[in-house]
Amino acid sequence: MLNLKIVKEKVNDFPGYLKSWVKTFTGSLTIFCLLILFVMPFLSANQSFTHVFLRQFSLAMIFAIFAASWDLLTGISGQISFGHAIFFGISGYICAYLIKYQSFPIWLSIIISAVVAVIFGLAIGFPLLRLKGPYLALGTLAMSLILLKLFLMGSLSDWLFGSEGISALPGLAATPVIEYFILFIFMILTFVILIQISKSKFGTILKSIRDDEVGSDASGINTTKYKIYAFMLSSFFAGLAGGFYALYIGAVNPTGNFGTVLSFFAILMASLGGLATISGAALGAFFFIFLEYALIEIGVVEIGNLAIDFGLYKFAIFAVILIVIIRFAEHGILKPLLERLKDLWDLLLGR
Amino acid sequence: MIVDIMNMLFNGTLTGAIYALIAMGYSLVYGVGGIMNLSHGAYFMLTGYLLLWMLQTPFFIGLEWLTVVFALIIITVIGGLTFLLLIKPLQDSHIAVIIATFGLAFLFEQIVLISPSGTEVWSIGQLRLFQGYTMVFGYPIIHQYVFLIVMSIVIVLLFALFINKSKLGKSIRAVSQDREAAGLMGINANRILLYTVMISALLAGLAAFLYLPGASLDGPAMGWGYLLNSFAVVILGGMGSLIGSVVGAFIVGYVISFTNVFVPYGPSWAHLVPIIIIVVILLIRPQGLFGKKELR
Repeated sequence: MLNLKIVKEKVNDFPGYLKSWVKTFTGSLTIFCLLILFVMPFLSANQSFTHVFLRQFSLAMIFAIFAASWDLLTGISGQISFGHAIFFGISGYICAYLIKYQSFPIWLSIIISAVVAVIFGLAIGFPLLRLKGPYLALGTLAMSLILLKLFLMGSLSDWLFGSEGISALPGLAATPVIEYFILFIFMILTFVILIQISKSKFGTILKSIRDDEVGSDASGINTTKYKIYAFMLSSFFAGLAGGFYALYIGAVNPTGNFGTVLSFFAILMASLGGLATISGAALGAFFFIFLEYALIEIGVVEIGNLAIDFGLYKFAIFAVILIVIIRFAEHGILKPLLERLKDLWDLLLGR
Repeated sequence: MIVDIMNMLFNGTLTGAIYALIAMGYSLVYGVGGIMNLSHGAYFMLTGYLLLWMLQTPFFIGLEWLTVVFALIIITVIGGLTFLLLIKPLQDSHIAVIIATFGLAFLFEQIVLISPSGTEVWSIGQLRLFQGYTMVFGYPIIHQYVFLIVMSIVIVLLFALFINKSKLGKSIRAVSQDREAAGLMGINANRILLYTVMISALLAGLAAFLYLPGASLDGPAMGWGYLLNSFAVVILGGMGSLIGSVVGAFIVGYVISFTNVFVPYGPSWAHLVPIIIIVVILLIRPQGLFGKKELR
């Protein structure tokens, strides 16, 4: 599977590849956005602004990783997952437990929790592998609902910290700025890895399984093996995001970490950006986190006698957006958006 | 001991009767159009809340039966709209229909959550047609539920009659067997699908009207539980098979109530029953008990 010569060529060629990539429109736009993200923390002198606003960016980056992991599983490998909150939540809980009750160092806990998420990915992927399409979607949904119920109200719930979960966790880092940069680095790493995977031979195999499983099987590809790989990879990054999230919030509880709304977020964000694009997940994550923030900030608006509380309506609005996106722009808005931007850019440059 | 057995039998039958109606609708839509309507559980939940809201407005005092009529009409229309706006345009892509109907179910849940009645537990007991209970072998048999079971069987039989004898029913079966051929026979497949989704919503609404006055409205999230359980029922009975939905419903009902009563820590395990059923059935007999692509 790994041809050293090809890898060596690619690695040696990397600077050249990078240069030609940066020169493309998409490449330079990405670099531009990353630069903005990079200087964000330094832009404001106002401390409280930094904390609140900056933390929204950190949150968006966590969800970008989460949504990208979902995109790998559903968009690229075609394994529809409606229960992605499972990996997110399990990893959050393990991380919280290790840090609080076993006094593990933060980084070790994050890694272990991500690994546990992978084990869950394996455990869940295995029985559910026989399912396809909508069956798999509902199967994963069922699993996440079961975990939610288990932690919330089952008789095991008291062992599992009940409905209050674990709280008072230390943050990811000493200040929000450091937290921001750690997440920034991890987001870039995640996306680079996932995008490279999607473009590699492995990614092509996953896509072929998505498009025509019978045909891939007939071509000699071990579909089961690759589907399991997809589950494991996806759950690793989802677990990573879950661990970060637990530390970001500082606490874990059943609804907050296993809730259906989280799986919904993954679907929402990745769908907005475009299924199978991976980078679209970042767009979706930032869009929705900031939309949520904006809606909460707008808060209650009074129009005549009617008081509309936008903060309360936010999920309903998200649901409407999801439905509209799926209905009219099934492949997400990232590609059309980029094309329009490129046309605009060309227009501005007079081409 | 005998109380436990009565408990199990009665609740099993009750659960089975409820799910027979809900699952039949779900399976119908799948059998006819190949569509998985994930907002089906939400129809059930929504009917309950529609009834609640209408009962809370002064207009309906003394005219409670009217709320039922209105609620059923509204939910049927909602089903029709779901089809026209969401399902029909997206018929080609499985993933798209699933995500869209999932989004819709989520939207309904949010709308109810936002409404003034969203966060508490409510009862629509005013719609109970039969009060009280009888003690049979030491177990209280609630009259409203007996009514539900009887009505459910009646509805299933009426529906079977409808599917087999009426013109619309036969058209539905034709489309489920072979859509193109049905089209060649002059049947407007899209129109039939529309009616099918509307009928399935109506069935879910009927189930809600029969059951919820005797129980309580636990919150908008209950829709998901019903969706999943109906899914398990349909998988067990066979996707697209109406007999399968009914039989599956009762089997699932009895297994759940058996687990509730006789297994240690029963109620917690009872939640797992549907998923275990789904996984086991899909592993050993994916087409379910009566499964076939055609409506039977």
